[in-house]
Amino acid sequence: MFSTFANPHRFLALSKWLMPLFAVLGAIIVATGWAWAFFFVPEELYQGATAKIMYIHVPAAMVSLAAYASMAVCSLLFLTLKHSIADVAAKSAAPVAAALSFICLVTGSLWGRPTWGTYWVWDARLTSMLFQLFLILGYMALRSAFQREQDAARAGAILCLVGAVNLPIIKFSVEWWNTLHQPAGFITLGGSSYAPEFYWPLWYNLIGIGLVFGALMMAAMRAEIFNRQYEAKLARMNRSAA
Amino acid sequence: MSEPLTGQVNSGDIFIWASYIISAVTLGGLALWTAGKLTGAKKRLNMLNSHETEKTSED
Repeated sequence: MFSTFANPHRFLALSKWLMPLFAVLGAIIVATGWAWAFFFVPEELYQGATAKIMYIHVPAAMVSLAAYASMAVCSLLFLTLKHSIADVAAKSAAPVAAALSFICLVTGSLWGRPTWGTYWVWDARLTSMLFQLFLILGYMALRSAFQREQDAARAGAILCLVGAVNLPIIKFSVEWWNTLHQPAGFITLGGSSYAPEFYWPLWYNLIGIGLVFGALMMAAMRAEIFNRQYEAKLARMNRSAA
Repeated sequence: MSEPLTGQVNSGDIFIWASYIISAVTLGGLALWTAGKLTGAKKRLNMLNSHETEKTSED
């Protein structure tokens, strides 16, 4: 099935209409979702109005983890099946994953100051999330250090797969260690601990950020495919001219 | 005079505003950067394609 969708021409045809659809829907949902959270969601009993930050923080955290996971899966597919579109997908997801990790860390820090009394503590959840941001930035820097795209793809894929060990650490850090960061409550095996007036706006914002991630990733993939087509065509023309 | 310790957060508007503004600027900036990259890549490829077509018709 992957091979069917791994064709760049098929991807370009599909993303031509899927990307603007995701972009428009994502922008509308995020704009209305933030307005919903900012103006209409009631204040939380203990956190007060600062709980409104969670409608950005939680979706950014969840989608950034999913983005890194998708980079790792694509890296594995590239290393095993040698599909160049898998490498294109991993490379294109990286800046979006980095931006979402950054948003997660900054909003978490801005929530922590009035709630915990500090912007930052070196607890397991915060530190592992910061490590993920550095890992993605390192992945992007490593790729750009290579001249040949094939070498960059291979080195990047290996780094990304090694870094995937951090994903369960981020997820389970609040259970494995005694952290200041609270344990998961939004989506758990035993059901959500959130009241419906907090639960549904959070889901709505999560879908919005997911769609924005999809649109940005598809746009970046299209740009990367066009760049590679350009390079390949230029090389072909130079060869035939020589 | 210190406030009584109730365990409730009663301040933080500036932090809420800052969170929304920083997130909007980051996502907006990323969207513009990605759109610029896509437009540039498409334009570059189209230019090469039209150059190639011209060259083929000249030959």
